[in-house]
Amino acid sequence: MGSLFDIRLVFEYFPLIFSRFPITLLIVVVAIGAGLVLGLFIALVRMRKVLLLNQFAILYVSFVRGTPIIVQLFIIYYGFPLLLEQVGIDITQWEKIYFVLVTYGLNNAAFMSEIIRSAISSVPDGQREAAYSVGLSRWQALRRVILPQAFLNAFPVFGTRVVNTFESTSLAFTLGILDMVGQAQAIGSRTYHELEGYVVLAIIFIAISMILEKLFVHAEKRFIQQRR
Amino acid sequence: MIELKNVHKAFGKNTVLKGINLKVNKGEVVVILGPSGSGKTTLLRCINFLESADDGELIIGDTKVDFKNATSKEILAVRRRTAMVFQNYNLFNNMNAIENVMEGLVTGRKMPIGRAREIAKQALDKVGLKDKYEAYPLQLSGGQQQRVGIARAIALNPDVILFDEPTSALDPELVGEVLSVMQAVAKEGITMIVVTHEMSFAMDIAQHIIFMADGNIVEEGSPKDIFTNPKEKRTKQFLERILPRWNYSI
Amino acid sequence: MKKRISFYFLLTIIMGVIALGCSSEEASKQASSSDANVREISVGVGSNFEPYAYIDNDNQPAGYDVAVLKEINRRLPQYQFKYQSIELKNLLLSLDAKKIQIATQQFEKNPDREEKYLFTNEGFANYDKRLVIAKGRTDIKTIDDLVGKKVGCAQGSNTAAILEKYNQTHQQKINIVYVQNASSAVYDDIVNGRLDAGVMTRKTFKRNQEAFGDGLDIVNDSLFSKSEAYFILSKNETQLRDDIDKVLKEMKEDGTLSKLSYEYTNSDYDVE
Repeated sequence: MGSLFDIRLVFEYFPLIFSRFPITLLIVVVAIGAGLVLGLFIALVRMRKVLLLNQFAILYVSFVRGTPIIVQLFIIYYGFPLLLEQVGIDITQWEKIYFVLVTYGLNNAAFMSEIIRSAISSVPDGQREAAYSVGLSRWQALRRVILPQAFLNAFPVFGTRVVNTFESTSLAFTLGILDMVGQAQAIGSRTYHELEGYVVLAIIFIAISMILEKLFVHAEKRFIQQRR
Repeated sequence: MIELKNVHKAFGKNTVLKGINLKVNKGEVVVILGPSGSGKTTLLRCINFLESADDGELIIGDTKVDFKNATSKEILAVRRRTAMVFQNYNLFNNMNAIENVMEGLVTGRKMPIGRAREIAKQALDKVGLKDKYEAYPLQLSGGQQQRVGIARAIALNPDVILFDEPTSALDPELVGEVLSVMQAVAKEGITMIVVTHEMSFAMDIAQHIIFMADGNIVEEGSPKDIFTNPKEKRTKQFLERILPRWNYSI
Repeated sequence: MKKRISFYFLLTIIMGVIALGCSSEEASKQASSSDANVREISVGVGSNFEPYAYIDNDNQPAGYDVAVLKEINRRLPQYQFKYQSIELKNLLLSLDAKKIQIATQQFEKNPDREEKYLFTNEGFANYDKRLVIAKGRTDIKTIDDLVGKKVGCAQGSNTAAILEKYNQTHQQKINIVYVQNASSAVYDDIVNGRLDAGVMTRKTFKRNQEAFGDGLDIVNDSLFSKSEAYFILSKNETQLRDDIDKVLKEMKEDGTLSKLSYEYTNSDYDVE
């Protein structure tokens, strides 16, 4: 005999659910890392208006921004392997986590490219010109002068993006990745006590989001202090 | 020695440079005068390819570059033999004063950091900022920022320093410190091409004056010739407007 | 500062990649242990239907469905079943996408499903379902009484299919409410009147009573649907289907299936 909500179970479930945190962290870290690298590439393609690649990038970014990530997960996990099968490449049996990492990486790349693009254009032209005038190449100017300043400008938006990514990882369970959300549901269905698991999730997500936000605000302050 | 031959430049339908020919000797200080919109700044910016001229030729030392089909390698080579001081200083906001000065040496020219730091210190000392090595641009006054800008240029030991209206953005009381630094630089025998409205600098420091109007060089000569005995009507008009008091002394 | 941040960032990535590498290494080890004559079969198991198909304490697929399949596999050494948990609503999609060859979470037959997939001919559990209502309600006895009422069901379930069919063929509609397969939420919704009825087997109803209390009644007068649970296979797996059928028949005859059913559901597989 049980009741709908048992506070003791919250404590009991907590370690079980939190033990899946590394999976969530892995998704976030890979998504942000891949998103930054690929996003920078897309941003550059778009800013330099590289032929064909630019058009492709525009299409790609608006597709990713215009569809829910769950749709993208399904396309990558279910659809993409079927497409590859047509040309004789079989990846249907790959580990799910790879599909998830690819999806979140690609998804973040689109968002990051927009963040990076607007951050770069927020750096005054004179900075680039000055870099050229002292003999820096395009890439050196970007790396040494433009990106560090763009990074600072983008920092608050970047922080929001990280928190968003963290929250959206909960969708990975749809494919059967046993992350924290998956664990909560799994416990819920085997014990017939779902509510407690969701309470644990809420606590963890709120706590980590708050920690992330605090970290970003703190880091931002330190960056700015250096310059003042 | 720097030579420009038949430089043309248009922004859309607006032709800004209509075939400029210019020769600057080593160690010479050249001042370009002219009403706004005459193409002075564009000409200056064409020299280090911040603008790409449509046609013409640039000879700098033993390097010869055709504007029409300059490769990025050539452009970089030209930029590494020139330096520029900007109207709005354009110091790298993410670097402090000494890093600003070192950047071109370390990143551009791959100089060891220790040596670059020594050169940067000397340059900053020369412009009177011995106590501001670690200061970030936002912590400096306009005059101080521009002096860092000049230090950044001289540290590169370029064939020529291009000055693009270096005092125009400054409060009047700060103009003097920048001009005196420029004067000191000129005395060291560094080739300078200066676009400015500071007539005292043009008169006292320049060895050669170029007067531009409507994308052409209208008249050139020594400061004495230009200021006391201008031949062209447009030069006279310009000088009358900008220097009314000189009317009396002529 | 900046250097330190990027260092930690890199460290986390490296650790992540290593962790990933280890886990996939394990997987490949499992795969390589099977010799060439053994065919590997991917089995998708529902993730949220205790005691039939759920995820156990060790994060592995578990339940009656899995136990039956494991016994089947034991008797069919030419196959190597590999299990993974998948949400009910994506199970059939996974079949379509060839991610798996067998799907199970107490699947019932219906014409739409039979057209697209292959069912085993042998069922392995009784799956007669009845209406479930808040205790004391007397206005709902048959499916026709559901007209205008809110009825909860899981997306992709056979209950949903039956209710949808009803609405297609009748003038007056049932108000179908798709719920996440969270039984506590369904229980709570019916007790509190947010839902008028749900549909469950007797066994699930009892399991709910144990878990949450005595707030629900089951309609004993009539059945909502009469059926059995089967395994679903990809359309082209007839050989596998026939093999499973043969073994299931044996298991029924030698009492193994009854034994497993008692072990997981406290009752025989063929009783309601």
